[in-house]
Amino acid sequence: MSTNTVSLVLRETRWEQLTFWRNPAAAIFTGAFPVMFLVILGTLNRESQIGFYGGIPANQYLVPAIISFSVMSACYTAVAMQLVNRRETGILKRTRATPLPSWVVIASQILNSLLVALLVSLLVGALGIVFYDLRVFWTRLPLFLLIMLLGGLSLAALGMLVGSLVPNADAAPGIVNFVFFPIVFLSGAFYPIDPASTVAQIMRWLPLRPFILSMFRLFDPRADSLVDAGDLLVLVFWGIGAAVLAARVFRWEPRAE
Amino acid sequence: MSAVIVERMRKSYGTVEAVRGVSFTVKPGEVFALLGPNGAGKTTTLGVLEGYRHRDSGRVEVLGTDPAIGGRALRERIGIVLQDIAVQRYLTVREALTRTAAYYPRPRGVDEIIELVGLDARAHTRVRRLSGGQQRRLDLALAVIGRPDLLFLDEPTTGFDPSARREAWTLIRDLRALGTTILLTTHYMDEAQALADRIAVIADGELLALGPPETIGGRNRAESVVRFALPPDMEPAGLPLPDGFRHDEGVVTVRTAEPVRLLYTLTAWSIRTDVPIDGLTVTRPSLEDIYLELTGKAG
Repeated sequence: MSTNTVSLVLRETRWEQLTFWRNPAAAIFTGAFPVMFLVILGTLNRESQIGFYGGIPANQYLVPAIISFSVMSACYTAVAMQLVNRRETGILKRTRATPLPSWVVIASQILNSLLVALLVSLLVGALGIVFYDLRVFWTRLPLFLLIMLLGGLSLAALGMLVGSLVPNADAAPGIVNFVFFPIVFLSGAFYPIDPASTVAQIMRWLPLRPFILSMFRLFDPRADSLVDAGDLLVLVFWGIGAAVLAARVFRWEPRAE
Repeated sequence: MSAVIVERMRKSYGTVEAVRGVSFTVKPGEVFALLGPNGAGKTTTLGVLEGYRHRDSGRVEVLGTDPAIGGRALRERIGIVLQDIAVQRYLTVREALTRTAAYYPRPRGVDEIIELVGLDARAHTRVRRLSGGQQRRLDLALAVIGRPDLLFLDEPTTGFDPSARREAWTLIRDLRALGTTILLTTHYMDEAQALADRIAVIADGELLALGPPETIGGRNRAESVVRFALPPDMEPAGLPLPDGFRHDEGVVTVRTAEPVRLLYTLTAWSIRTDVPIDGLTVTRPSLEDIYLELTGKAG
């Protein structure tokens, strides 16, 4: 990879950032929603403890869970919606006619989502520290970034897959959120779910719960092992599977009527 | 060398044959129009040349390369305007052009292009706030920012009001003057006539005629039509007319390959007998007449 293509990817990512934050729907859904959930849930649970996690303060779980939710919004929902939007309005087709390599189109979009995820996560984390007594273990920061990268990439691959399967623009919000919301709730993004429960056992095999648990471990004061290889494997497995399938069903143009 | 070569190109969608053995070439520097009704196969033909569609058979070359395998090197040399506007809504005119210019090895200046398409006053306006016509002009600007040798325009003025069309035509002529080869599709005859050096008429996936607007379809050799009002109280038989004239509610129509001779005879008769001939006109077949005849829609 020459410096030229690297600078092309970075330049494209910069444009993606600009268009992303200027789009009110994207900025509000991806940026403001997690903050709103943090304020509501963090305030409601300020005095609560979680029994099945050895009585730790609820917010020590909820903040990393909401961080995971922000990553899912930025990487899964935004990627899927953006893909559909650009395909259906002809922007993808138009871009394909330029010399810009296809992989740069995809790479800059995913890099953009990772950046958005990082920014929103840092914001949620900072608010958690200042207002909700979040305890941070700073030595775990590199691991935090690594897991965020893994999760972000896997969720972006899922976003690409679902976005490619959506038949048209009208169906996009329905399909994308139909996948999104049940998983968000059942995975424990907004309240802790007893790991021994049946729901938790099932959701461990879908991508979001392993991601939330991997994030939470880095904030868990009692954690003796910071990484659960099984959780990360499930996450990566979903990511690779989704990427392989997405590459097969990806379309540059709207489906012919 | 030709800018575009198409030889016996065929393309089907399922059982529908959209293009059935079309052949033509586009010379460097010319404006070439594919003229035909909706569904004639114009856009499909263009799609193959642009690299979006794969032909079923035949030979196709664009700037010396097969567009099916042309890749990035070819895309650096062509510009495309599709039927629908597709521009990132949240960038300004200037940002959108700056972004796209970076994709090309020797782009035109952003300000130069903004001026060329007349968007100077809107350079810092976001795309979503532009009018439809302005968005179209930006779309065209994006297609030529990379200094393409060859520009594809798919129905560049469909849906335009008359003054916007004139502006677009001026723009296309300006681009031609800059040396850009242009291949456009249109279903407007006046557009083909006004812009194109050569026209290919296609209908039902087949090429029906090819040539400059003045001579296409034998237009220069076709018969002229002489028309006049039959003088009152006269029968056409009393006039010096060749066989095959038509008489319809007081109007006489004569098709002739020799309009000069007919007019001479007719006017000489009128002066000699002192019977005036009113409403005398001579018309050559318009491009529209030829087109309608070719596409089998003549009244």
